[in-house]
Amino acid sequence: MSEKDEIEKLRKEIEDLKGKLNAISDKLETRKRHGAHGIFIDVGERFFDSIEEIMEDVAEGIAGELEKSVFIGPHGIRVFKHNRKHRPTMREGEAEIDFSKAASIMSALGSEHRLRILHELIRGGKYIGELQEKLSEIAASTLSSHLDVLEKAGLVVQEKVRGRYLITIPGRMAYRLARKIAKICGEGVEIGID
Amino acid sequence: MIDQLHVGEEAFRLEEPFTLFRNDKCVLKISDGAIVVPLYFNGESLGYFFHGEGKLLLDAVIETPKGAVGKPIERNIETPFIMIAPASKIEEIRGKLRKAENENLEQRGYANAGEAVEAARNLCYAMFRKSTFCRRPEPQSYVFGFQRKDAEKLDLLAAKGDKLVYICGENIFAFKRGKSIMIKSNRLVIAKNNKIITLVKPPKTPFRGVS
Repeated sequence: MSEKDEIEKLRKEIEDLKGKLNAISDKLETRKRHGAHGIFIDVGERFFDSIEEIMEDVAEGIAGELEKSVFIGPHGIRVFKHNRKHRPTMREGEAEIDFSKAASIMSALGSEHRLRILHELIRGGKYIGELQEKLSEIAASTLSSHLDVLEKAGLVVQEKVRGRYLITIPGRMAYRLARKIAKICGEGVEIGID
Repeated sequence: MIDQLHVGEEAFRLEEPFTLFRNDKCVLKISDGAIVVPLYFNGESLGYFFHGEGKLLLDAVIETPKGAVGKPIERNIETPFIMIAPASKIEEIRGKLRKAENENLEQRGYANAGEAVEAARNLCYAMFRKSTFCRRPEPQSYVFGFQRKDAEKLDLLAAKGDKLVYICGENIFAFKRGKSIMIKSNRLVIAKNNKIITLVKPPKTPFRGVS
């Protein structure tokens, strides 16, 4: 399915959701008028109203965004605002690079063990025990400290309730980048580029 | 509605640490010594007012095929909050309550039980003042209203089974198995069955990206 079709499908889903929300609101109104079965306990109508409002806003927001001009490029979709004439140039983009952040990410990637951890997490979230099992060559204490480094760099996130480790979107991108660097530099060495 | 809500006349203390709520995404615990005031609606137990040291853990993380989005929230709760809970939970908590002594009350800044009851009444008023009616939709649902240090508005957590909504200031997290909505600062993330839409408004770049 093309990305345009997916967007169209999502828009239809949003419309359906909006319809359902309206139906629920109507039902609630009817109940207000005629009285519903069971005990009425006030747990804060304001609270449930807020949730409905939020859902409405979200649905409208998405529909609004998708109605704007959509540019589908090789790196995904970008929706441009009509009223903005200025687009960032490459030079401006370069000026915004946070070198210290970039360095901390590269530093987090600068370990074979950490790259192996990312490689395992690419396939899905894992508990520390599962990682330990897969990466038996890494000592348990070292594994924890590697995970801390990856977490601090924003490449990995740990669920506090279940305790699983998940790779983040930047983590996945960084892993891909590391693979690309290894491949390009490896080829460069082979053909004798300095 | 506020007229039908009745705040108990006595203040209690929690005898042992207690997990008030737990599901796959969230855990809310409260430590022993917390001041507790029962709440009633039309004579039936509705929930409790708590003032003690609590901890909220919320995995505001959405797992997608492109990677995880969001961060877990770990919040120490020192301000009072209200809990509306299923009858079974209310009973379970009741078994762990003892009458609060003055020293317990003083630890939380109350001179006597009356002040704690008054604080409970004020928080109930803040939470329910605009309510006219609402039906408890399911007996297994929980609603928590946390008083904020810096604002009159409350942070709200509502949950039933694996469904959960947390509203904390400008941030909103809604989770249901396979479906999530997350609104945080300049980012809106909607995920459903491994599909994800992210709307980001970067502060300096003039385009709005959707990926």
